[in-house]
Amino acid sequence: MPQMGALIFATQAMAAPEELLNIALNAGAIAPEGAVLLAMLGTLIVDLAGEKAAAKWSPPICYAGLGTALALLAMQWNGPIESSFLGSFLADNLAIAFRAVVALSTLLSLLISWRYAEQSGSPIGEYASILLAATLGAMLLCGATDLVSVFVSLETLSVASYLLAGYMKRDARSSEAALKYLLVGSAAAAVFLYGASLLYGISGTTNLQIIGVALLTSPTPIAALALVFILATVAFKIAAVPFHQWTPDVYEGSPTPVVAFLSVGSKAAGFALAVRLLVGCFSAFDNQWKLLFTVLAVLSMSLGNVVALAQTSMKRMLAYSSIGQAGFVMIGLVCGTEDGFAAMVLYMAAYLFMNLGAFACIILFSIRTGSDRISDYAGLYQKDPLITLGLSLCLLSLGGIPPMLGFFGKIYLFFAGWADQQYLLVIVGLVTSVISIYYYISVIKMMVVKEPQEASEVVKAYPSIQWKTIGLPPLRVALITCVLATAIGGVLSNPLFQWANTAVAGTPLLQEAIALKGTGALG
Amino acid sequence: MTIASSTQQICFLVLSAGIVIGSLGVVLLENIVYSAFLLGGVFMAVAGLYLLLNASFVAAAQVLVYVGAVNVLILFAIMLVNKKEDLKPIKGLQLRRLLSGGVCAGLLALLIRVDITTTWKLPGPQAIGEQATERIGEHLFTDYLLPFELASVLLLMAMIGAIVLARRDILTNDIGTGESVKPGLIEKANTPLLIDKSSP
Amino acid sequence: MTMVTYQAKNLLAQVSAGLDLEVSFSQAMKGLGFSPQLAHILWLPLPMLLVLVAALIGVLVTVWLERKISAAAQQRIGPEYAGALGILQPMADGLKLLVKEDVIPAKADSLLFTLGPVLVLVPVILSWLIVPFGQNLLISNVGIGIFLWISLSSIQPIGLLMSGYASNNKYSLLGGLRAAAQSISYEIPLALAVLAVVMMSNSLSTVDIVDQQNNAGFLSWNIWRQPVGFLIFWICALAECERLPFDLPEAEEELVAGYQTEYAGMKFALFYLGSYINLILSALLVSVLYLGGWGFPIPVELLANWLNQSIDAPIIQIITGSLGIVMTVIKAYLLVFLAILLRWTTPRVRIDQLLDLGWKFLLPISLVNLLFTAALKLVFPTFFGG
Repeated sequence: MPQMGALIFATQAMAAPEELLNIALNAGAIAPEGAVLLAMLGTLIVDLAGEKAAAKWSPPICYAGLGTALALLAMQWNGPIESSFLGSFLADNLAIAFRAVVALSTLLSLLISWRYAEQSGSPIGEYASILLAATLGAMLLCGATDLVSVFVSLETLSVASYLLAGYMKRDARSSEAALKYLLVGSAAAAVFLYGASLLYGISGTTNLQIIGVALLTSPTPIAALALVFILATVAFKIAAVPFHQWTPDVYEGSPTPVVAFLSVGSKAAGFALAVRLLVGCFSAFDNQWKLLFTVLAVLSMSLGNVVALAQTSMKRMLAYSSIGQAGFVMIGLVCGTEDGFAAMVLYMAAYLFMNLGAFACIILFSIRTGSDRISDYAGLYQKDPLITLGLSLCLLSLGGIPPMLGFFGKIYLFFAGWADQQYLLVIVGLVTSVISIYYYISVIKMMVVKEPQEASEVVKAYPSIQWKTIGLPPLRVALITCVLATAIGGVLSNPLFQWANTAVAGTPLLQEAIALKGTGALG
Repeated sequence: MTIASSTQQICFLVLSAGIVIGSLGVVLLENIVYSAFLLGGVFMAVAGLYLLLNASFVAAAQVLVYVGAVNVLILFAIMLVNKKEDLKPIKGLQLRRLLSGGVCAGLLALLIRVDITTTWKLPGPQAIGEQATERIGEHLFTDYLLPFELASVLLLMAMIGAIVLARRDILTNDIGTGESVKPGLIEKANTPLLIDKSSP
Repeated sequence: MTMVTYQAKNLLAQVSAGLDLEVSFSQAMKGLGFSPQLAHILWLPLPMLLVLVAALIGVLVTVWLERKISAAAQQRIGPEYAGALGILQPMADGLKLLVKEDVIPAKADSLLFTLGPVLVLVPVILSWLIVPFGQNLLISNVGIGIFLWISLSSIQPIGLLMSGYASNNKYSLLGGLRAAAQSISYEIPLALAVLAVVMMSNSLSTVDIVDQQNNAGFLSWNIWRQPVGFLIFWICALAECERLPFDLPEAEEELVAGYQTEYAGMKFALFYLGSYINLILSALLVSVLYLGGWGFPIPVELLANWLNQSIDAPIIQIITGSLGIVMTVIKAYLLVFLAILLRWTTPRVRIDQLLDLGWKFLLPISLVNLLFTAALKLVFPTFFGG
């Protein structure tokens, strides 16, 4: 791989422009993104015909676009790995896996958001197109191998996220969330740019591979500084403590379907970025970034899970729980072994289903009652068994109770960590898992155990259940899909394991890192 | 030392001093309008640095984008929202300022030290002067094609989002059912987050 | 670095046809025993001063024209007593402004109040850097040429906002805001129209743009290939100069005199000067971009051939050089005449009409124009600069 990088560098430096034009762009690699882009433009065009037409035609266009994108991703799986756009993008298996997670999270978020958007009186066409733009940015971020591409796709994702966070104009908290997110996010972007400029100054190129080689040959103190800067941005994107302060406020203020996307899609893109930058570029500083990430993971797991105990708002609780979950995923990244990476991919996929399932239930509850306070869920099982069952299963899975999908994901992560002798991380992970089970279970207890007379006022006035309203059937589909995947995926998780292992095996970047680690351990 | 190179040195020193003093002014001045105008001055001085580096196209683009668009928009925002508001005094402001000043000074010292000790990849690319415009175009359509095209999506989306957020009309009816929208879903009884400090 | 470019320029100048005063000057200086470097330094301020003086004289002429033409449009006589046909009237106006008391309102922000007019005037004067009157008759043939003008003219709104804010007067503030809004809205279609021309000439340099139009006299002028672009450019240029029908920032019925309300004396004169220099500059650039610049309607090479003279003969060079200057000025003043006529015959638009015209009409049209030019360039490379 380094030779190939050097080759690209050589062509960049010496080739006349005419020769550069003749090099194949290999643009087929971003065909899935093309489908998403077409869907985005389609929703915009449909939106010109008015709100009614948009409400009717935007959903099918989005499904078609995202479905095509997923199908194209499946076709790219295990394909030949060729750098496309002259070193700007690389569609290896890891990128494909993360892009699929992102696209799927968008698809599910869209399914659960129609009813919510309509009921809150928000324009639907623009909502869908901005969410698709965020998806586009996130998907390109997963495979970007050039600092400029990384930055532009990061900004596409971020700017779209700010807009989505402030989408409920009449809600002051939504605007506030958007503003906070914008300010903190811009600061993070500026810090990233500073780090990137330092990297360019050391290596004279923006290509990650060549930067990695340059850092290996001459690791300078300034590279460590660049590492800190870039790490801060990555940590901001995946909401790791202490870069998490924006998360609870943004999650609470933003529209719930947007939070669903932010907590999964945006986070998955952040992890893909972390792998590309840290594993791919900073292999010379392996020990340093792993140490920093260990600290971040320990802090995230403990703070996220402990503070979640005290929350009264469902969205805020899930916000802190998502901080904790990010801490778990980081264990896999810190290991840097074959199992570690595979566990990371697997857990991301599992997290997609269980978290989105939980969000689908919360949204359905708030559509029917307009509340997201945990105490309002009291006694729900008598009025709405579906929400109760779905939410219980998803929360149990998030807590890591067997035989749910989350259990297998978590156990794989801890196994990988233990095998790599990351005892501290694993022990902290185990302890905080137990803590997390406590607050997940307390929600379930609230829903199930209460006597009829103890039910909350909201539940007592619960409307009769009907699924006819436009926008509710997709929500039901998403809810049932996620809950089924969470419940049954655990038992039938073998294909998922294989998928995660293939994702790692089909990624030269990770294989190199694993090989390097192996030789390091031997020597 | 020839006249040309000494002129360059003097220009560099003047521009750098302008940038440093101007940026300090942007941060430290109490009057936000002064800060905004100084920011324009800093942008101009940065454009001057680009000129010294023989990158005239970048310099002109810097002036066009940052001074002509960004800074004018900032000024617009300030002047349209010209509301004098007495903010509550922040507790321990002096201490906070000292602390943040200390952190900044520490970071500056670190950067300067690292800057001096590092061997940079020098000399950088040869300055090509007048052909730079063409070279930028070539790069945009070869090795930076992907970010360039993605930037257009970014701008399109930002434009649409800004219009949606700025548009006054909000739908009052549910498109699906035709009923009026549910206030409970969007106007929550809770107080704004900035004031709400009850939950961590 | 400067030395090298200077020598390269010298070399280039000797190769390319046409009058080059710098070479002659440096040769003369060499004769007097100065080193070429010193000669270059001595040369540098000369064209700048020359152009500055030319611009000022241009303003005086334009002001006189404005007074005379407006008088004719309203069936008056106009200035009459100061010199023949009142030709010295603008001088008298200027002198009056010069000796007037410089008033700074008590509650104004005196620093910004003073800086505002300067920021309005300086970019306009700087833009004269790239106005060519002949193959080598311009201050500097910078590579980014016309782009420099676009970016410099974007500084102006800052000065307008500054003076509007510093006056501490609501009319001024509103005028300044309007001026800045107008300026940034019309800058975009303007730049897009210029871009279409640049695409045809494959260069941003004003000299190259003119050269590319002068193959076949007036038949090859850009106005035939870019009629829409010409109209867009002219409308936007008028809006950028805040001329009627786009003089909303100074709409006296609504805003007294906009951002100029509190200004008097020399500071007011700076605004006045800036707006007229800008008008002449816009007219010059229209002639450069669309009307063949210094080119004579019939190619001079053809004329020289008829007269059996070599185009490189010194006398012919001097004649063609002077002819170029005269042609540029004539074209520019025809456009200035048009602008003045427009000012005294059209009503003012409303602010919403102004913004509608800019964003909903000119911007899409100019985008289509750009796209269309690109398509034509691909299909007919010989006519549209392949």
